[in-house]
Amino acid sequence: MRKLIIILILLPMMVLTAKAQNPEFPALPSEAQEYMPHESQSFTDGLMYIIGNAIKELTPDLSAGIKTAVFLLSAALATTYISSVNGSAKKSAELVCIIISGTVLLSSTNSLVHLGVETIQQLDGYSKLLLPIMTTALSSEGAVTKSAALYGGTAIFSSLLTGVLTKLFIPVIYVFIVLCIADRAFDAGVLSSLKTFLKWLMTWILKLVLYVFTGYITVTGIASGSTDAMALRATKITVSGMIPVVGGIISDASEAILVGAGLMKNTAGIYGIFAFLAICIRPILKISVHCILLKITAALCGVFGLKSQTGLVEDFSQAMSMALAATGSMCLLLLISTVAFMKGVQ
Amino acid sequence: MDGLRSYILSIVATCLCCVIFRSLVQGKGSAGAAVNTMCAIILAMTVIYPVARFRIKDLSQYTQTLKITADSLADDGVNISQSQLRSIISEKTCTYILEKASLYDCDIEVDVILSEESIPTPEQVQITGSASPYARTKLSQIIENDLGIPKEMQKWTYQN
Repeated sequence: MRKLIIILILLPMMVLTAKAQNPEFPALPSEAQEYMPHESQSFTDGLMYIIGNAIKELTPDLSAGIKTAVFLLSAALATTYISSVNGSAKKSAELVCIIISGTVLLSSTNSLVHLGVETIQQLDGYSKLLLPIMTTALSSEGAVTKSAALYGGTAIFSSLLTGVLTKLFIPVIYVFIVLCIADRAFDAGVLSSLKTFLKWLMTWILKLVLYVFTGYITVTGIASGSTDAMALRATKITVSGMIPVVGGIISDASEAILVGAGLMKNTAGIYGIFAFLAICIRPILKISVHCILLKITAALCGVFGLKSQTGLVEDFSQAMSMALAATGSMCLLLLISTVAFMKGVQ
Repeated sequence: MDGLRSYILSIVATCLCCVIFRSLVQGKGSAGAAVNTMCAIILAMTVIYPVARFRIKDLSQYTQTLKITADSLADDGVNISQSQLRSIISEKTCTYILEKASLYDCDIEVDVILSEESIPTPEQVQITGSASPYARTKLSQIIENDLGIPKEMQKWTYQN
C-alpha cells in the first residue's frame, strides 16, 4: 500500500518523461505500521486516519486510568473517615495514604515513562534512516548547500535531544517523583524548592534545545537557500545564452528533473511526517489521557480536604506532563526538520 | 550527558542527606547551628566543585564526521540528478536529429555524446545508417547550426 501511494504520486512524472529514482522507505516499527494511512486521498485524510485509529485504541487506557482514579479516591475517602473517627490517627492515616497512593501511581507512571523512552528511541532510530533519503532528495532538486546543512543540524540536535531526554530528563523525572513522595509524606520545605527547581531546569533545557534548533533551521534555510537559489539562477542565465535548440532541450530537461526531484522530495517528506506521527501518536495520547485523569482525580481529592494526597496526585500529573513534553519535543523537532527539508529552494 | 546526570543526582542526594541530618539534630541549640553551617558548606562544595573542574570536550571530530556524511549524501543527490539530466538531454537530442532525418527519408540510428561540464551540451554525434549525399549534407548542416556540433565531431557510419 505504501508503494501504491508512491506510484500514484509519481505517476504524473511519466508524462514529463522525468525518471526520478523512487526512494525505498525504511520499514516502520510494527506497532506504528497499523497507523500508517493506506488509502488516503489527501494529507488531511491521512492525518485524520492516524489520529482516528489512535483514539479508537484509547479505551483500555481510559479504563485503567479510571480504576486508578477510583482507587485513589477510595484511599482519600478511607483516610478522611479514619481521621474523623479518630483524630489522633490523622497524621498516620495520611502518611499511609501517601505511601499507598505513591506506590499505585508509581507503577502506572513507570510503564508510561518507559513507553516514552521507547518512543524517543524509535523516533531517533527512524530519523537516522529517513534523513539520508530526504537529504539526497533535496540535493537532487538543486539545494546542495541547504541539504547538507539541514542534515548536519538535524543529526546533531536529534542526537543531543535523545541523549538529554534518555540519560538526563527521564532519570530526573524519577528523582522528581521520589522528592514528591518524600515532600508530601514529611512536608519538608527544602524538598519542595528542589522539586520546583528540577521541574524548571528540565523545562528550560527542553525549550532551549527546541528554540536553538528552530533558530538554526530558520537561519540555515535563509543563508544556504540563497546560495542554492543563486546557483540555480546562474545556471538558468548560462542556459539562456546557448544556441536556442540546445538551450531549449537543456531547459526542458532541467525543468523535468526539478519537478521530478521535487515530487520525490515531497513524497519522502509526507511519508516522513506520517511515519513520525504514527510512531508517537499512541504513546502521546496514552500519556495525555493518564495526565488528564490525574488532574481530574487531584481536583476530586481536593473535595475531601486531603492536601497532601491532592498535592501528590498533582505532582504525579506534572511528572506525566514532563514525560509528555519529552516525547512531544522529540516528535516536534523531527517534524520541523522534515518540513524544512520539504520547503526546498525558493 | 552522564556527567550532567551524575552532577544533578549528587546535588539532590546531598540535599536529601542534609534534610535528614538537620531533622535529626533539630532544636539542639548551638549544635543545630553548626549542623546548618556544615550542611551549607557541603552543599556549596557539591554544587561548585564539579563546575570548577568542568572542561568542554573537543567535538571537532564528531562534527567533522557529520560534515563528511552530509557532503557525501548531498553529492549523491547531485550525481542522481546529473545522470538523469544527461540521460534526458541525450534522449531529446537524438529525438530531434531523428525527426529532422525523417524529413529527408534517412534510415539512421543516432548516438549523442555529451560534454562533461556541469551543464552537459551535445559534443559529438555518431550516426549509423543509410542516407543520400544530399540528405547527409542537409542533416549535417542542421546538426551544426541547431545543436552546435561541428562537422568534424559528426561521425557517419554507412550501412548497406
